[in-house]
Amino acid sequence: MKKIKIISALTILSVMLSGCSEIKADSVQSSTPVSCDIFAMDTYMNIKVYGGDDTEKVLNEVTDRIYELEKMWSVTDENSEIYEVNHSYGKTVTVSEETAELLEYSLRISDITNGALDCTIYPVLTEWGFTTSDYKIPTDEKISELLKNTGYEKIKLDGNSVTIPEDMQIDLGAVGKGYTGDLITEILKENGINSALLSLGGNIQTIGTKPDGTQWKLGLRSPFDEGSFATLNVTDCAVITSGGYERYFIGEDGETYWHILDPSTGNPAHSGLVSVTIVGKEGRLCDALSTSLFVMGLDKSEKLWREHEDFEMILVTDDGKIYLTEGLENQFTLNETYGNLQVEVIHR
Amino acid sequence: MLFLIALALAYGFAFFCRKPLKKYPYVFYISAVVITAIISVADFRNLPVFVNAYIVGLFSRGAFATALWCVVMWAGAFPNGSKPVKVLMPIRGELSIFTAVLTLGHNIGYGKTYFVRLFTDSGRMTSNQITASILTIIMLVIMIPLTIMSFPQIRRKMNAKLWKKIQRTAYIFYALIYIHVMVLCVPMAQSGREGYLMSVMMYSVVFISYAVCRIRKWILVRKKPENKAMLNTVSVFVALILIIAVGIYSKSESRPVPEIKINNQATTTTATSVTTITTALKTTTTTISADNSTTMTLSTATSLVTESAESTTSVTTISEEIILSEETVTELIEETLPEEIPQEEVPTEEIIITEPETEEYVETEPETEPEPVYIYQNGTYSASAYGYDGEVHVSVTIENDVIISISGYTDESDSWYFESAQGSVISQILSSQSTSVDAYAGATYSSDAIMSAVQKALDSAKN
Repeated sequence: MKKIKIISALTILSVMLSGCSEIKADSVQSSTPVSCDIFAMDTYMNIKVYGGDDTEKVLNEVTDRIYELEKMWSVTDENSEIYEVNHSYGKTVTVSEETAELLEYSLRISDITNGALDCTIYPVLTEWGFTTSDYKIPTDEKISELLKNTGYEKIKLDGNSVTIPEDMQIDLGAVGKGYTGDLITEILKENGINSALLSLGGNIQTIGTKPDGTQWKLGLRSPFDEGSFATLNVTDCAVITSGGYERYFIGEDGETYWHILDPSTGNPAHSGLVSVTIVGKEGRLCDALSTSLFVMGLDKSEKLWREHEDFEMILVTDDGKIYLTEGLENQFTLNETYGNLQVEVIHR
Repeated sequence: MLFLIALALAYGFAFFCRKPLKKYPYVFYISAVVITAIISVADFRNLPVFVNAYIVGLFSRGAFATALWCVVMWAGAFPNGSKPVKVLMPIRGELSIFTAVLTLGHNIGYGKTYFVRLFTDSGRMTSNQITASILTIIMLVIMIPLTIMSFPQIRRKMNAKLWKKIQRTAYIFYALIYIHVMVLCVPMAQSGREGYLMSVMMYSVVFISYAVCRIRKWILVRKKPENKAMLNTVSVFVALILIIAVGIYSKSESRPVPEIKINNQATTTTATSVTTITTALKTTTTTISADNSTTMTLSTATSLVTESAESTTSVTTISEEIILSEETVTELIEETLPEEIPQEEVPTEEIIITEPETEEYVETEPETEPEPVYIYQNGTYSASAYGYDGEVHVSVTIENDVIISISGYTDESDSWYFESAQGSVISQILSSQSTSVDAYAGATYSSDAIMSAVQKALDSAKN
């Protein structure tokens, strides 16, 4: 009994102490975070900035920039550049620097992923109802018909001049947010900000470390339920996840249909992966690859990773296995409640 | 309660309709088909809760069918030559067919959600749900052949001994009904949900005493024991022991439900948005059973907007009070039904404090405190959205663009027990403001009823 009393007293004491030290550490922080919330690009964004001068001015600039980019790249806004391109009836359209760069980047990734990423799949996505929430399962004939007008290789990009075939429609949504993250990060860094955390609809980009020097702790959403299955500690990089669970519907046949389509078939990609997280310096790369690797599957993703040095990844398969590349091994911690999931490290 | 009513109705039906059932069985079979079709297909949203829970529920939840199966099974346990046997045996076959058709209504009604989910998204089901679903499949495998065999046209063509042998698999069927009901009700009873311990006891009394009576009858007929009194005493004793054992196992531990208060008032602050809270809500539905009016109140104070200025400090106080008291029983469900995946368009509005008129920014001037521009009017707004088979209602209170409380209740007649439901809601809200994680990578799930309802409430609050 005495032993129990001592142990419980010590436990309570240590809990109290750890609580105190946490607050203490917080109050030592030299700066308080400033944050802003933005609804744009069909999602909710939050930017937290630590330290820096004139942070409000900087955040205003950032907000304006985001809206500016949204206006340029929105598929549905009649005044956007993408809309113009999609309704050009085969004629050449001149676009801004940013749009040209974004498109060029998208095409480059399409090349290295052999078409797993394809910005021309938009009409098929619409037919499925993913853009309108009016879900249906298109017939094979309809999909074949629509696929005829897809194919990123048909896009002609010459400097700032874009020419696409008449019935083609492009959508840069798969890379747009990541690209935006990069541009925003640049603005923040130019303004002397060296500690910030951006969440653009779940796409994370970080600048530096937290003010106290520790790494940012990110929870990775589980594709199986609403919890987070792991924590990832990161510094100065982007972490972007793609998963079928983000947007899907259950068809009349009882099957699950999600919004990540395989451009070669026009149907939801079933490569065996349910969640792909890419970690890297550039948001645009992480964003583009998170969608592509979901389509490509485990083996092809591994192959691609070996050919590149600029990203790391965490893949979750539909049978509950987690694969992570060795660069993330020390930063990744599986949450207790998911302790039964198998984790395998992919080495170079 | 429902089972009790169902039993009374079942016995009443068997006694009073036995003559027409014998003479014109197809009238009854066709009525059963019609009822089953209606239950499988129709939308009962607009009916009053009472009707849904006690009338529709009889069929959709399989209570009437189960009660009828009890009549059928007990017919074989009564002593030979007794009144119940004389009344029930002649119509046993017809009753079985009638009941089997009604059972299908229950199977299809639930199956269209849970069978589908079993094969497409079983990760989202609790292990009890999966077990119950698998048991159902086995039961169907037994029930369908036995039902076909019960038609006189088929029965006549079969060897009597073989027919009898195959019909014995009905014992497995009855046992599985009991196990199926227990798998679903015992956890609820253990968690203290009102009404479920009573259900567990009722089903246990009916099924355990049946098992004991049937075995006793078998012993009497086959073994012809000398000491009948001894057999009777042992039977009663065994039945009581088993029933009491079930009761003890199913009783909930009388632990006080903890009041959980989390107060984060650190000197540094972090801002959390409405959407983070609402995304937490996206995956949960607060449900309360129809017969007790319990509510769950989530009070969260989060600020949508943070201001900073040289002279003032950022203030965002995060305090959560998630109070679960003795009176409030909470179950949280995550449900996403096919017709319930609205893609809520997030309003493209800027929520940021800006200086109302900015002309030239002069560096030396101290920043003036910006005037907040609120998106939402202060007040409490209610809205509802359709959940499983009833409306889910939420009430959102907004003050200065901060959600200070959200409460909800449901009209649904049924709610699945979700083991860690409470934990998941608390952890969602906690972790969105906790110091353990700075942010979440990855988008959240599609909305469900409560998210739609909250969104509607917020929309009605807009300026």
